[in-house]
Amino acid sequence: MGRALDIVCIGGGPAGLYFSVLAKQSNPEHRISLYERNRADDTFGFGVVFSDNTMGFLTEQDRSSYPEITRQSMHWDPITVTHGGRTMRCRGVGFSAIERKTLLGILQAQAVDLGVHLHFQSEVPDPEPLISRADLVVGCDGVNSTVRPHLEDRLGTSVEVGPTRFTWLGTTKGFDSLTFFFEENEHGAFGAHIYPYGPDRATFIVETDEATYQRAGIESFGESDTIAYCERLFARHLDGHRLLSNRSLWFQFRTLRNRRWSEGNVVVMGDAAHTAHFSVGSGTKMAMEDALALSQALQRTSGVPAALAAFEEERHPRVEHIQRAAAASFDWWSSFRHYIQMPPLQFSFNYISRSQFRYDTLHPRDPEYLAGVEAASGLGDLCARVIAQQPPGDDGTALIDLAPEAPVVMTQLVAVSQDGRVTTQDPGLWNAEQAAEWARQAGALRAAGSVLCLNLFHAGPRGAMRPRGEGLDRPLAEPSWPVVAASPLSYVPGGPVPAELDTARMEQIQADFVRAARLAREAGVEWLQLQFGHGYLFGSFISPLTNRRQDAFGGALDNRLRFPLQVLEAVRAEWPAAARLLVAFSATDWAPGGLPAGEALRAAAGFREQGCDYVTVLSGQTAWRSKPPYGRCFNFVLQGKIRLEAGVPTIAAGGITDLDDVRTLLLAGRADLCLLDHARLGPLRCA
Amino acid sequence: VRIGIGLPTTIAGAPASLALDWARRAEEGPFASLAVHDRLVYDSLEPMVALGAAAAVTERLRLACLVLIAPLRRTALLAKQAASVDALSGGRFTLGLGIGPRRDDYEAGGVPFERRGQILETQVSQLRPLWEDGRIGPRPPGGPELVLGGLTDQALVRMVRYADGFCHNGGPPRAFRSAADRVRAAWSDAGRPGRPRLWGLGYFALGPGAAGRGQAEVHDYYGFLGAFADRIAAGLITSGESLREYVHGYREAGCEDLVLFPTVAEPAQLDRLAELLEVI
Repeated sequence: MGRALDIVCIGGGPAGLYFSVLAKQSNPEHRISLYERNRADDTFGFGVVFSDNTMGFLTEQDRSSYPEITRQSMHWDPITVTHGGRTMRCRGVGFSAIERKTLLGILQAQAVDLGVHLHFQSEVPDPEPLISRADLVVGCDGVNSTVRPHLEDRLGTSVEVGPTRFTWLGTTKGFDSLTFFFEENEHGAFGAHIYPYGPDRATFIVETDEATYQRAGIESFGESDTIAYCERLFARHLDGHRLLSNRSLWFQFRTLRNRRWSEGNVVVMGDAAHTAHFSVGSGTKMAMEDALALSQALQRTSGVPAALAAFEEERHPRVEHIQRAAAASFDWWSSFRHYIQMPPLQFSFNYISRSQFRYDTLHPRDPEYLAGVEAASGLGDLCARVIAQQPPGDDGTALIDLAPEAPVVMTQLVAVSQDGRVTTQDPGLWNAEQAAEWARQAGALRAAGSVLCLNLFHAGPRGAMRPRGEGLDRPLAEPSWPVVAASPLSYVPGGPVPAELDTARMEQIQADFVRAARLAREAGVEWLQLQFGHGYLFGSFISPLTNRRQDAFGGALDNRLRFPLQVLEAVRAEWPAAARLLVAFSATDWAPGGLPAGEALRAAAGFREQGCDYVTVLSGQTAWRSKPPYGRCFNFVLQGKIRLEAGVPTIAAGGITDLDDVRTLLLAGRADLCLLDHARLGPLRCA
Repeated sequence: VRIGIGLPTTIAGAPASLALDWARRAEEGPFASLAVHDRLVYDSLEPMVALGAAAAVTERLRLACLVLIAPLRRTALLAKQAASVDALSGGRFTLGLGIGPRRDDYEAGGVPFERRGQILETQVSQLRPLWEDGRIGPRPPGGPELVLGGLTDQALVRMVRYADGFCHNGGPPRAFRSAADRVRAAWSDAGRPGRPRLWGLGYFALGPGAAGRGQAEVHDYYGFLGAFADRIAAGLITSGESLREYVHGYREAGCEDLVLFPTVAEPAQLDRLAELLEVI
């Protein structure tokens, strides 16, 4: 147990109250005072929700106040999605909810019992005197924290304003589960998130996109206009019940992030430190987990600085994880107007799998629901929708071995010219001898029941490297061929600088691709993919991070796409109309200043217009410093957007390893075909 | 999955002489590897020195550092030490590198804690060239197998660029599975040939009264990590049943080398683990 501390909490929401209670419990010698600008029983926002695993974690760690909170909470097991006149339920996606007022009441009573000094109606306009007096100042005063600005330049604060509009209402209608309604009217599409927290009470949040918000004229609405509009919109679900208002204005959700949460003896937590879109139900959860972690850190370390460091260490990865899940969910809510045309069951699965749930994590919870989704999908044999990836460096043996697993096998990268290789070991296709070898492999694969998809590329700025087995992107000491790129920017920091591609060289490279396509056609290759992603030559044109050109091939997206589209057009003319042609590209750079999602959608649509049959949605490898969220199906959000919003047939790739991944992506309508990882755990279990 | 055993070099109060005896016994036992942890501000042995000694009394076991807190060392010397352990052991060395979570180690080591990720990044980019170059020796050039710890996005990018694989930090099989999925996804996406090497680890305390002592040791060693220490302590292998479950889960998740670390520094612990491995 550490020494007794003078602790000041600014803000009396769940984070501050819960922290006060836990800290005082662990060391009754702490002197804790808490300032709250509102009255004890003032409260906004009707109920708060927790996901089931939050309850588990807190129950495990806190055996004193949490049981009371659990006792007064309402728990529901299924999630209900109502759309297109159909109501769909998936069980086992449990949530709990409690009225915010009840939660605060429990915590206030415990705090008072323990001897925490609670000061209501006591705003702290300037925390400086407290900071210089107290051992520890905890800023838990919400997203509009008055404490945070005192540290802001040192915390690395960023705020992202979301693209949707929402309002927070309540209703007297009873609901028996977490429920979502989707409705369309003459203005556009609206969704309602309903969190019941009592037998006849529920939080009722209405959310829509900016254009719909404008068309409906909501900007000029007062509270009663909002109520009237929403009651009309959701009338068939309300059974005559009213919607309730509680300072119910329309807002844009702001996602707050801070690189650090503490400085000296001041720390922020809860909404003052981080926010996550309410659709993942994690705001209060994070606040309470912060409180628990901070009180435990104070107990087990010596001194406030060590405790704050330990607190940040423990909480940053967890909060980042939730913020990432929330970003995917928020993206769904920003785009659902495009998904609302889907058949209801597929729509519901698309919604439920929008962030963290996959087929295999849902299956044990509700096999019947998933069976219904599968039956309605009409997908048939999933194994027919799979493309296997030849492992890099393979001599052709593994390629043939993949035939039983997939109807199509994608080759490793195949260079269109000697100068287009990454390493001296890359396979290529620029002469008759190579063509004969590809003809042999395509034939062997065909005999084994699969077709070959030749993956053509030019290495661009990633050229002239050492073999990939020795580590990636290690430039050759003495490059034996010239390296080119959209702009003279080295791929590896401090590495060789490529030459800016001039138009003469562009024509040459285009001719190389056309020649490779012709040779492939003559060799009997059935499918062809052009690699426009991962930082290779065409990727260097598409990403704004690597294209600094001032000519017709740089600047705006249309210019950056010009060269890739020219090559695509020329290859399409050479390639048989009936044979499949694919374009793979990086739909995001995972780096600040990279390709925006809107441009990725336009690029995909551009490839489609120029005659490609499928777009393979990759990501990253365009910038040296990037943060790809590697994991299962890690590109699924953009894959779904390109297919459902841009209307382009897509091949999903990246972290796809088994039939459950394939099923998840296809059932949700996020892909037409799936490309499997080469380094996956085991072979695909196809019948 | 091959099973290895940890040396009791990071258990407070364990005599240094136990390490060599332990290594000899492990060599005779059903183990594939012998591994050490690293910590500066603790009653523990320096891992490279410990493995150098272990190399002298073993001929068969793979020797692994899981993981060495690289930023505490200067890179060229680290490269030379690692290559030396590899040479002394006849190429049996696996160097695992990480940043370690402990601020006190950095304070004592005089290295800025905040810069640890950056420092590691530079180090791992320099190690392979140092080993290949052969200038600092020992020759022939080459260097040991290199694996990295860490599961942040940047750590995975670093791992697929420079290393041969990944070392997990312990926990239940499902935690390893989700980490390994991320590693394999990164490896595939980057187009690295072959498969990443995957090292997992666990902790055990076997026999009457050992579980409580083991849990106390885990809390002493990992206590500063809060909830993580609780999870490690809760996942402690204390019986044949829990061993079977742990090994099975790691095997299913694609782990190649699973190293089980003792939490009670008594030779009987090694014998008990060896006996149980025969029957699971």
